[in-house]
Formats: sequence, structure tokens, C-alpha cells
Amino acid sequence: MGFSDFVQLVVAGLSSGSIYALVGLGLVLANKGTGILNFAQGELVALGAYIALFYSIVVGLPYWQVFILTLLTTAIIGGIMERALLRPLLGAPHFTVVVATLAIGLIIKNALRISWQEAVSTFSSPLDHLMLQIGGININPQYAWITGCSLAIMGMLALFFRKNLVGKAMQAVAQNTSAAQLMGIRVSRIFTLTLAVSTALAALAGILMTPVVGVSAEMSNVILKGFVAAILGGFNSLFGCLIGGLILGLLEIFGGVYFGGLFKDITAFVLLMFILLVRPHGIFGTAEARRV
Amino acid sequence: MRAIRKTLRSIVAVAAMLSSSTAIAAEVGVTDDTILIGSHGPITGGATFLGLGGKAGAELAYKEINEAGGIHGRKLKMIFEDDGFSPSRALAAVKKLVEQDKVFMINGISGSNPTVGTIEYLRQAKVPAYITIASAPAVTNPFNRYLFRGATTETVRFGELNAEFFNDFLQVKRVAILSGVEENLKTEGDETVKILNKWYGVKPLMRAEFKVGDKDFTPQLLQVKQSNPELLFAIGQVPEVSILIRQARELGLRQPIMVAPSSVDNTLITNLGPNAEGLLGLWGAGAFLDSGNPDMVKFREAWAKMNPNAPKGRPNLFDVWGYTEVYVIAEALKKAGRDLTREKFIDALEQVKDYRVSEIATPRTFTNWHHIGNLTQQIMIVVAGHWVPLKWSPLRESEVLANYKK
Amino acid sequence: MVAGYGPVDVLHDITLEVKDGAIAGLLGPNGAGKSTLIKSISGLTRVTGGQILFEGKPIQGMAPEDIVALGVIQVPQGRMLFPELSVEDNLELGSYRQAARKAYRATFELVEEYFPRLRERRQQRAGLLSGGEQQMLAIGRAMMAQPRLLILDEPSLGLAPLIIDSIFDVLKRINADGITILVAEQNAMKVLQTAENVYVLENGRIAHSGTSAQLAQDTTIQRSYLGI
Repeated sequence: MGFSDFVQLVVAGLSSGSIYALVGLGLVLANKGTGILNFAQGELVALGAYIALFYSIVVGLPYWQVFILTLLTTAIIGGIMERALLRPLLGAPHFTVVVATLAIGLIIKNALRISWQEAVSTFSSPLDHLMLQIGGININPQYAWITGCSLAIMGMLALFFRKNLVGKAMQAVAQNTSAAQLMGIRVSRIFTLTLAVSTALAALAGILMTPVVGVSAEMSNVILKGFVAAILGGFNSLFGCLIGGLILGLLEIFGGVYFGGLFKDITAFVLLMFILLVRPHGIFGTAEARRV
Repeated sequence: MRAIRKTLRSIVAVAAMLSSSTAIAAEVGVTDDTILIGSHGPITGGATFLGLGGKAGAELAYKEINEAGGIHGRKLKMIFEDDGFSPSRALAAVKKLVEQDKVFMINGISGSNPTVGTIEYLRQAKVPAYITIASAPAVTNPFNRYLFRGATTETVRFGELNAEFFNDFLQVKRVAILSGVEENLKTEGDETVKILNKWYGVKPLMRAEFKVGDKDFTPQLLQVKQSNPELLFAIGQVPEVSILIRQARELGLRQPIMVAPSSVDNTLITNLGPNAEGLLGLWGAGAFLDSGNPDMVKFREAWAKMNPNAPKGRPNLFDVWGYTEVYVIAEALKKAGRDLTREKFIDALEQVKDYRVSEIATPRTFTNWHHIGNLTQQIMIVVAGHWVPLKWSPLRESEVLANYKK
Repeated sequence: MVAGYGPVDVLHDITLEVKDGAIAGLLGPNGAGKSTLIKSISGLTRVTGGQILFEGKPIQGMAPEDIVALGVIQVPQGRMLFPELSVEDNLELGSYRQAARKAYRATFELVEEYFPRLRERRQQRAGLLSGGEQQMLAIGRAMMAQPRLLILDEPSLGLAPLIIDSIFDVLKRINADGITILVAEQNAMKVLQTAENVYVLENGRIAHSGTSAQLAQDTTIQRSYLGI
């Protein structure tokens, strides 16, 4: 492998890694904030991509408007999903809620398949079919955009949690729901907001992925990678998710090169098993930090 | 006295029933004014583009045929069952159609896996089965009087056409092959390798595989790059092949790329933009979907009228096949005459020679020693964002049929 | 204040009154129902019968956040801090509701004056504080909400006697600054020293009540709660 191939692999690995981080972060956020382990997160990624496709192709909006409108739309959908489908299950056994999210996912997936039957599709972005040439190395600017945009959004989210009162309230609810109520925080609103943000994060992953992998209902499979990223990061923090995702992205791509393309996924999961054996709470996780 | 009259009346009634039923029901699924045809395909699950397409195409053909008066005064009626792309559900569907609905014949509009699940049953039931889409070898091999393959050709034949095209037209010897691990994709790769070696003594430089759902092909493409071929042959479905080709170009592979019939589709062009220019591939129908050919224009208009709220990406190849193959069935029903039986229908199908409804299809030919309807494929090339036919026809005789002759 | 309680009940026919501007005490052994009573006042437990009046208006059945908005603020048992947030963030969340947020700066300074230790620990994560500091933060956080009635559930739990003294000293200062206090405790001595009126809860019923002076003289109280 030449130097230019190596650089390309790193760039591609980081970009898929940041997608995994976004998906993982959505999972962690919903789980910490509301106690829901949302198995529909993968379908929400696909839903985001299809909504973007709709705004782009059917409505005919330019990329930046598509980007913002899709995030808003999916945030609203996430909020409605919490209110209408998950709120009634508050206090139900964990397993019931998991099955409910699985069902929501299946419904979304099948609705997408039926409503859009093109084998795969994509919407145009300003970076389509461009190629950056840096010292003889071809770099697809999409990769740089995916990584940069994910990092920027995660940075903004980190600031929101650290500096904004509502962001702090979301953390408060995650850390102690009763105490948050005693502060006068309307917990139900925070639940809705949390699901809205986590759904928008899923959609963001979908929008960013599309120009690289195209739109399909099977995009939802990315939830597995999101889980791995989140677990590597301790299923607890934004920063942990980010590092977990990037490690997974790089490992996957280099694992594929050294062990053959068909073993790419296996490499990732072998790593996961290994890390869980050595550090059961992930690389950055601590034992007591888990929410009961 | 009253009792006798009553008995008499019922005897008369029974006699009338008997006589009328013998006159009408000459064969299962055939009445005085209808012929029942059973179909199955996936309209739920992951392969809806196939089942919904095939079904809509067939419905259009039935509507046209019935509006023109039907066949010998009988209307054609389709009973459709969803098989969800599952072999067991497909088998249950076919059993229901044959045993409960008592159809005259089966017109399968499903993929290979579900169809294979029904073959053994169909062989034993002796119900004529016209398989529209499935390319699984079991449909035609070993030969069975009741099973016919319509639109798709034998996978082995793809190997022959590819090998001949590489050597005769492109004149390349250094070939790299990437294929999906799924059976029909892998077989197409295997057959191409076999025929390349057998006919031309050429061995591919490298061969690697990928999975449906893969989003990154860098590992395989780095191997391709190292082997430095004159041609890359990529066998897969549109989603994977789109990414594969884009990444190949990113990695600096400038060689021509040929794709398999499964990805000769406009979405590939949409996905790849300028990167699609010059791509080659085999196409299994006549005029291309977006072509200006008058027959295709007519088909598209009729289809759109019947499906006003169609989703994007339709009509697709399966709409075309669902449509053209019902016409092949109708052609045979016409030849079989008014006095229709299953056996007569099969005899008539075996008489079909070079038949096609219009230029949107390739011709179909069946004989009493092989039931492979289609041995031709059209080479297409992407020019200015459209798949256009390339003037090339194979000259070597196919060895596919030789196996049946002996 | 009257708190009745429903069928499956931990509490029966409770009558309890906290006078405006006073410190009232609620004594009782573990499991007597002190926490349940306090949770019902804050709206965390559903009250199934009777009445809870705050400044003459019924508050039973209201959502916890609406009760907070009236100025009824609870310092829950076990502090219930937000362990991964800083001391300052915990305090800021105390003044989450609109009315309290307006006076945020002033209250913040006041709280740091009550508990100078918190000033030193301002940026530290709440989970890393000592037990005493955590209790200070819990009270400080409640003070940030500008309470009219401050309810404390077992503030002395698990703390060293010296720290307990300093905490009750601050409670007296808070009360002197005009805030009504209800404190539930197992530590009877401390309550009898601090509160004016004291209620003793046993098996979900008020077993004794009266002024601290009266109860301190009562021999049964002395025997069961003061160990004399």
C-alpha cells in the first residue's frame, strides 16, 4: 500500500467513523435521557435520508435548505414519536419498550420500501463528483465534509450541554429524574426534546451518508455500528462516542485491507468483544456511571 | 304424488348441472368465459421493487388483452399472492393457488430463492408454470415438461456472452472480477471465469467478493489496483456497484468497467453522474426504459395511465417483464385454441418461436426439448447519461442448448 | 395543613400544620412514613384523599413543577444531586423556574454566603464532594429556587455531628431570613433544639405533637427518641 492509498484510507475511515459516532450518540442520548434503548435509531437514519431525498427531488430545494429542513422535520417527528408512542409506555417493562421501538423501526422501514421503489437513489450536494487533489492524493471532499460537519455538530451539542440551561436540564433529568422534577423541570418536555435531538442526530447521519452510499431502507443497518461505537465509548458520553466511532471506522477499513473485504465487519466485532473482555465498561466508561 | 314430483324436479336439476359442467369445465381453472392464472411475488419485505413491478406489468397486459376481447372469448383473470421473497411462503402461495383457487396455470413473478421453493411441488402437480423472472438453474435444469423460463436467460449464458464480448469486441485479456457472494451473482462470475478459460484460455488476474449491504470496497479495489487489469468486471446490485465504481475512480482506477445485468439501471447513472460514462453492461429486455423507441413510449404511457400515483423509479425492468411475459402466455393460449387443456397449452407454448409483443421485449423461443425462452442479451453503454445499445451480437453458438439436445 | 392518604396507605389521617415563618419538625423512626408525607407535599406521590393547603390554597394533585412554582421546595433524602454536573451547574438548575432565574445572581451570592465551602468547590463535579458538602449543595440548590417553604428530608443522614451542627445553624439563619421550614429527621435531639412545633409520626399516624419544649419533657419521647 502506497502513501497516497494510506491517506485515502484514513480519510475514508474517519468519515465513516464520524457517522457511527452520530448514530451511537443518538442512542446514548435517548437512553441516558429517557431510559429508552431505541432500536428504531437505524430506521430513523434511513427516514432522515428519505426525507432529505423528498425535499431535494420532489420539492426541488437546494442542499443547504434540504439539510436544515430535514433536521427540523425529523426533530418534530422524534418529538411526536416520544409523545404518541413511547410516553404511554413509560414505566412499562424494559423489554416491552424495546419491542415497541423494534416495531416502530419495522413500520418505518416497510413504509420507506413501499413509498420509494428505486433500487437506490441519491440527492445532489454541492460537492458531488468533485475530487480534491493534494500532492497527488485524490480526496473525495464528501469525506472531509462528513467528518467536519459531524465534529462541528457534536461540538455545538457539547456546548449546548455545557452552557445552556435547557441542555443542563436534559443532563439533570438523565442523572436524577425525581430531583429534576423537584427543580421545577417539566420532565415530560425534556423527554420530548431529548428524543427530538436524538432523532435529528440520526437524520444528520442519514443526510451526510447519502451522497457517499445512496439512499436505501437498508441504511438502517448502521445501527449496529452505532452500538459498537457507543459501547466502545462506554455508552455514556459524547466524547466517548466520538472516539469509539472514529476507532471503529479506522479499524474497519484497515481490517478490511489486511484481512480481506469480507472480514471487514468481523474485524470490528472481534475488536468489540476484545475490548469488552478487557474493559467491560468501554474505553472511557466507568462502572458507576450507568443509569439504572 | 307431491313427493314424486319433488324427486323428479331434483333429478332434472342435477342432470342440468352435470351437463352444463361437463360442457364448461373442460379443464381446471377454465370456464366458459374465464381462464384463471395464479401468480406470486414479493409485495412486502425487501424485494418489493421486483414483486410490485412484475404485478403491475402483468395487470396492464391482462387489462389490454381483456379489453381487446380476451382469448377465444375468455377473459384472463390473475389471482396474486404475496410471497414476501420467502421460499416457504412462495410454496404455500402456489399450493393455495393450485389446490384452493384451482388455477389453470402458474405465472411466477418472483425471484430465484422463493421460486426454487416451489419447483419440486410444481413438477409433481403437473400444472404448467411459466417463470417470468427467476433465473435459478432449477427452473430449466433438468428439463421438465411443465416448467418454462421466460424473461431471464440461463446464468451460464451470461458467462458465454461476457467472455465473448471481452475477447471479440473489447479484445482484453487482463480482467479483474469482483462479485457479490450471493448465489446468482457469484455464479455469473464463476461462469464467466469458466468460459473465458475454456474458449479463450484466459485466466482472470484476480477475483474477490463483497456482500449485499457493503458500503466500502476499498480493500477489494486495492487488490484490483495492484493487479492492474485492462477491464474491471463488477457483478452486483445497484446500491453496492454504485459505491464500488465511485471508489474505484477515487482510488485512481481509470480502466473501463463492465457491470452485470442486475445493475444496468438508470439509478446507477443518477448515483454516479459523470463517473457513469462509458460503463458497459448486458440488458435483458428490448428498448431501454427511458428510450424514445415508439413501442417503449407507448408502454410507458399505458403504464402511467394505469398507475397514476407511481413511486419514483417505476416502471422498472420488472414492470416490463411482467407485461411482456403475459403476452407470451396469451400467444400460446391463442395457439392452443378454444378447446383448452393444460397439455394443449404446453404443446402450444413449445410452438412459440421468436415471439415478442413489441420492441420492448427480446424474442422468446421454446421447443419440446428446451424451455429456455431467452438466449439473447443486448450490450449497453452509458453515453451522455443514458444507457444506449451497442452494436454487437454474439457469433459463437451457445453450449447451453447443446446439453439438452443429447 | 391537612394531608389525607388513600387505600393502600402508608399514611392515615395526618393533620400537620407549619406556621408561616416557623421551623416545624417531623420526627419518627425509619419507615414511619416521613418521606412519603414529604413526597406527597411535593407532588411526587399521588395523594388519594384529604387536602394539602399552602397559603390557604389546595395543592394536592398538582404537578411537581407547579408546586415548585408556588415556592414549596424540597431537599430530598440522599441529596439527589446531579453528580456529573459541577457545583455551579447544580445551583443554576435550582433556579430553573422563570421567577427564580431573574434573581439568579443575588441568590447565588446569598447561597455562597450561607455555605462558603461551595464557593471553593464551584467548578468541582457534585459527585466528588464530601457528604457534608453534598448536603450543603442540596440545601443551596433548593435555596436557589427562592423557597417560601423549604422542606428537608433527613438532612443529617450519614453526616458527622460537627457538620450536622453547622447545617442546622445555617437552617436557623435561613429561617431568620424569613423562610418557613419543615424538617423531617430521625435525629430527634437536633430537631427538638431547632424547631418550635414538632410532630411525631409512627406507623403512618401522628402519635404525638406539640411544642419542642412540651415534647422534650414527655417521657415516652425521651425513652424512644432521645435515649434518656
